[in-house]
Amino acid sequence: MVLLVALAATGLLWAGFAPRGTAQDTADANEAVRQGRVLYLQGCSSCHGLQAQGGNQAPSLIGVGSAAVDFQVSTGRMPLAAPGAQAERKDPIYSQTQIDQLAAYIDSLGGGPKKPVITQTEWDDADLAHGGELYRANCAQCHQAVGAGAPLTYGKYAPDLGKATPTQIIEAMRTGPESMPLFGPGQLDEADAVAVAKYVRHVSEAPSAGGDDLGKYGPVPEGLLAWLVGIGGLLAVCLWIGARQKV
Amino acid sequence: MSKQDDDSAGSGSPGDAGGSIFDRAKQPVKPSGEPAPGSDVSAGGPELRQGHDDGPERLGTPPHQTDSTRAQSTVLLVEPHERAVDVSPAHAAEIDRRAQRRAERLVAFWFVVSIVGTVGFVVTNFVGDKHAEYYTPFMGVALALAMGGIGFGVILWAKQLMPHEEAVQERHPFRSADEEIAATEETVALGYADTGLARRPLVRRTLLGAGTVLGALLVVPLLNLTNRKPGKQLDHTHWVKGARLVTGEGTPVKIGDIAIGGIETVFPAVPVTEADGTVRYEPQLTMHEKADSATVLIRLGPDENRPRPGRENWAYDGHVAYSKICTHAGCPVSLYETQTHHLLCPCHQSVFDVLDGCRAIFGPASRSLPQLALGVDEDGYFIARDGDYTEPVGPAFWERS
Repeated sequence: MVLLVALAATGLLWAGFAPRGTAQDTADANEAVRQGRVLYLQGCSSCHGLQAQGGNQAPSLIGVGSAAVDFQVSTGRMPLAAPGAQAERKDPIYSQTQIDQLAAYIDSLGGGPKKPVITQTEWDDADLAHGGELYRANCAQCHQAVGAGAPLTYGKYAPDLGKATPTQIIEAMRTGPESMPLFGPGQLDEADAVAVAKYVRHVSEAPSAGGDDLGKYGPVPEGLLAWLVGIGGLLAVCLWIGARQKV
Repeated sequence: MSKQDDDSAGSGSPGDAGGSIFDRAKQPVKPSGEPAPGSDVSAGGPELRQGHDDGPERLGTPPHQTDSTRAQSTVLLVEPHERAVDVSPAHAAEIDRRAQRRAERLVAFWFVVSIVGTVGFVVTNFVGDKHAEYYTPFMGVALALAMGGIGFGVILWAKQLMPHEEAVQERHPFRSADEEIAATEETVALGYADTGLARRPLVRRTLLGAGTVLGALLVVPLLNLTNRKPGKQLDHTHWVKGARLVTGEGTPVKIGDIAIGGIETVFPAVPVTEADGTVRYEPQLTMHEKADSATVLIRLGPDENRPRPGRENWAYDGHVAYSKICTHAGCPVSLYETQTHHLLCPCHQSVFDVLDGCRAIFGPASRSLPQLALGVDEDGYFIARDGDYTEPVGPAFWERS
């Protein structure tokens, strides 16, 4: 009797706490991988190879993870418009669903950094000041103090971060696209990464109280403008004041 | 001779076109310099002359003498090409009148612009959203219009409506008058006699002595230049044997923290042995201590590093550490390109090849970045295995051996 009760209770408990929808999720995931493979073969395999093994023109994608796929495709850098020093940001040609399917396919070939999910709580709790410190210590040397970007060597450059979404910022840190160093969780943990992303968004969205920010490039263009336009204009006015009236 | 000459006789020579500005305002002068009883100076301008009764109105200061000679005092608002056409006097006067009215309207326009600017400034100040992007630029433009409007109006007024005259003022002779020279010489001679320097040799000699000794002070700063050498101060940083590598926030870096392709700026945390024998690590906190010890820790891929002879075991598991201070001008070198493994200096575009011992391959820097020998302690934290850099970090200096 006790045994029966115990069995019944176990059965009831299993019925109550059994993970639901697992089969459905697996089916969805498999479907996403299948769709992603179709998209991959159409749009990516000519350079990255039929098995994503890479080739003369493109690196292997095995083990790069879904974060790398989401970053490269959602920023429009991939598919590449033309070979060059660096892939440029442009409007993405795939929808977010398609990007997720591509990411699922690449992820299925071997693990890598996963596409980060930032919850609203994480975002609200992120320490903006701490993010600023981390940004200045790790990012500002290339991406410039307020994320306006700056040149590197041989036509490469650290891009402007003005259009980067928080997800893309964290993906770039975790995957180190192109010339960028990789900042893994050992260096910047999840909260740090979100704080850096929040700081980048903050400085990118900050209104410019003094009028046009001249590309946020700091004192050089501002000084140039002050000297050429400001002082030049004053000189022109002085010349006009001192000019003889035509008779 | 008119009354004008009588009035100015006390201060200026007769016939000179002078008098105070008050006199001149009342007595406009002809090009010849003679005072003109009837005002024909300004074309169509208001009658300036108010009467000859200027005797009692003289102010306390006598009229200032000028050497001005007036060359031209007519206003010609007519354009030269218009004058070339044969215009009858009546027609010319008509053109003149219209030009003046146009000029008046222009001046008035700028004054109105000033009013609009002022009102705009005040309204924006009280009504505008101070956090909006337009606020500051709009305030600036409004204030510029408020003040610039008056300025432009006044200048246009002076240029187009007021009479034009060309005045030449002769320079006064450079040499002083003979009497003044003689008086000055006499004053100096009397003063010298009063000091009695000629009669009191003791005072004279001690003063000369004091002056000479004081003048010798000039040598002191020159001597200062010779006795301040940096010594061995620049040859060493704050890295010591066994110092842990910590981040700018003081967190020690352990193996595995940095992924392949990662970079971290590290500083020394010096081991301090406590009384009870435990060792704690003291991060260097002051900017002065951090400044010469800044180091970049980079993790390369397996077998990517090409160590220099004698430095084969300075790297640890693909991690290499180099001084962050550029050997050209001392800027922080931390722009790291992971694909080319180039470290860039942001100041003058020096480029260092990380795989080749941070050899300088481009730009003004000529020496490699000094390398720090890495080790890992029993707790898995990175340490400076051999202590300090083997060569001075940063730019070259005179005493560098």
